[in-house]
Amino acid sequence: MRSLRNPEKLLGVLPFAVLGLVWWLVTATGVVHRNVLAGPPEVWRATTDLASRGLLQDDIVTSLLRLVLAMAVSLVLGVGLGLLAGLNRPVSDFLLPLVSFFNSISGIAWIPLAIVWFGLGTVTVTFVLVNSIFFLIFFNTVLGVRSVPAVLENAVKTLGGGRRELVLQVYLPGALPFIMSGIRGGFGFGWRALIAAELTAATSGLGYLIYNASNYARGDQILAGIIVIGALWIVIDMAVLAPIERRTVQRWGTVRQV
Amino acid sequence: MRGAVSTADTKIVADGLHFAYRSQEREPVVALTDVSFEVRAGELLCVVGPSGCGKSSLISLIAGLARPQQGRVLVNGRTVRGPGADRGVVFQELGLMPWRTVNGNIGQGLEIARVPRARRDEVVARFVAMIGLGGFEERYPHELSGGMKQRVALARTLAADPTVMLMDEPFAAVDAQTRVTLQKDLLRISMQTGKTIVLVTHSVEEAAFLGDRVMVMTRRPGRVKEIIDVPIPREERDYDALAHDEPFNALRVEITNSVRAELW
Ligand SMILES: Nc1ncnc2c1ncn2[C@@H]1O[C@H](COP(=O)(O)OP(=O)(O)O)[C@@H](O)[C@H]1O
Ligand SMILES: [Mg+2]
Repeated sequence: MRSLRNPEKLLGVLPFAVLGLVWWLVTATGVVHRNVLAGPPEVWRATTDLASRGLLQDDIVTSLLRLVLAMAVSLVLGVGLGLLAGLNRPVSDFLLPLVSFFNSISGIAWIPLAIVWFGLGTVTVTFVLVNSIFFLIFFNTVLGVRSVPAVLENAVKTLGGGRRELVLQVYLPGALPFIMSGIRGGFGFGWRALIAAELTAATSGLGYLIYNASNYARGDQILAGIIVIGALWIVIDMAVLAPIERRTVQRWGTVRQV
Repeated sequence: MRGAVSTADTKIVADGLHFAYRSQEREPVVALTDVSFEVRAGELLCVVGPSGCGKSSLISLIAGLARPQQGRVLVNGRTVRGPGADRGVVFQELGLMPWRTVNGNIGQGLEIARVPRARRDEVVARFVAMIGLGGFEERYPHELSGGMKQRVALARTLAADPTVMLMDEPFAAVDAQTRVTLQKDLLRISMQTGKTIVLVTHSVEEAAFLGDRVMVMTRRPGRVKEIIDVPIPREERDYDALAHDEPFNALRVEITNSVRAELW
C-alpha cells in the first residue's frame, strides 16, 4: 500500500488503468462482441474461478519453476563458458562461431526436435528455454570479462593473487554488471519462450492453461492467463531483478548503460 | 653498471634492461634500453623523466607484470620472474576494486595471504586509522574523493606488507594541498617501516623533496641519464624549511635542467 503514496509509482499504473478502461468500454457497450473479446468482469470471474480451484496457482508454480530451472542451467553454462572464452583467446576463437550459429536459431525452433528427444514436459520446455537464455548470458559474460580494466588484474597479481583470486575477486565481480543485464534480458526472453513452449510441448503451466482454454473456446480464461503472465513478469522484474541490481552493481557505482 | 654484484645492502638490481612493446599491427615500441641501476635496502629512489620515457614500464618490470627482452631484475638477489606480494605496487590508476569497501580493499592482500579474519580486521583497522579514514570503512571507492582513494590504495599496498613498494605517480591526481599531506605521510611511513621504495613522478619538486636519490631518465627509449644524491635526512624534509635551503635549491635546479634537456 505504501507504494501507492509514491506519485512516481502511481504514474506507472496510469497506462494500465487507461487500457483497462478502454477494454471495459468497448466490451460493455457491445462495440466488440463478448464472444470475440471477453470483458473485464468475465475475465475477473474466470481468474477467481481458476484460482479457487487451485489450477491457476499450480500452473504459475509449474511455469516459474521451469523458468528458474532454465535460468540456473543457463547461468552455470553461460557464466562458466563465458569466463573461459573471455579469458582465453583459443577457447573464444573456438566457441564464438559455434555460439553465433546456434544463437541465430530462435529457441522455440528446437521445440519439434526436443519433443522427439524428451517428449512433452519439463525437460523439453527447459531445453528450449536454455536455448533462449544461455546465449545472452554467455555473450554478456564474455563482454564483461573483457571490459575489466587491466589495472585491477595487475593489482590482484601484485597482492599475491593467483588464478583463483583473479576469477573470484576481479573477473566475476567486474563482469557482474554485464551478467546482470544478461540475466534480466534472459528472464525476458525465457519468459516469452516459456509460454510458447508450454503452448505446444507441455501438459501443465500457464502456456498450457491458455492452450487448453482455447480447446474449449474459453476466451475469458485465455485473457486471464495472458494478464497473469504479464503481471507476473512485472513482479519478477520489480521484486527480484531490480533489488539485486540495487544491492550490487548500483551500490558499487559500476553499473553502465549496455 | 652492467653485471652489477648485489651486496647484502642492495635490494633491487636492474641489470641491462631492454624492453619493447610488441604488437602484430605496429612496429615495436622500445620503451627502455640498457637500463641498469641499484636500489639500497630502505632507500627511497625517485624516478623522473619526460612523459612516455618508460617510467611505468620500469615499474612493471620490477613488479614482474612484464618481462624484459634483455637483462633482468633482481630483488633480494633473486631474478624476478613474475608478480609477487613481496613487491607491492601503487598504480597510477590506483586499481581499487569498485566492488569492495574501504575495509575490503585494504584487507585484500591479507585475504589473499589467508590471514585469519580476526587478525585481518585488526591490521585493517590500524591502517584505516593511519590514513585517517575512520568512519569511511564501509564506503565504496566511488563515494570517496581522489585523495581518499589515493590513501586507500597506499594502505592496501602497505597492509600486504611488501618489502619493496613501487609507486607510479601516486600523487599526480590529487590537489596541491592533499599532495603535500600525502608526501609527508609517505616520508613518515617510510621512516617507520623501513621499506624500500621506488617512486615515479613527473614532478622534479616532488622527486627532490622525497628522494634519497633522484634518477633522471632520457626521453624514449628510456635510459638512465644520471642519478643525483639528495643528502638530506628524511626527518629534515619540510617544504618551508627547504624553501630557503641553498644546497637543496641548487639540487632542484640541477635536476630540473637535466629533465628539461630531455624534452623535445
Ligand atoms: N601497451 C602498450 N603498447 C604499446 N606501446 C606502449 C604501451 N604502453 C606504453 N607504451 C609506450 O611505451 C612508452 C613508455 O610508456 P610508459 O612506460 O607508460 O611511459 P611513462 O610512464 O614514462 O609515461 C611510451 O612511448 C608509450 O607510448
Ligand atoms: Mg606512466
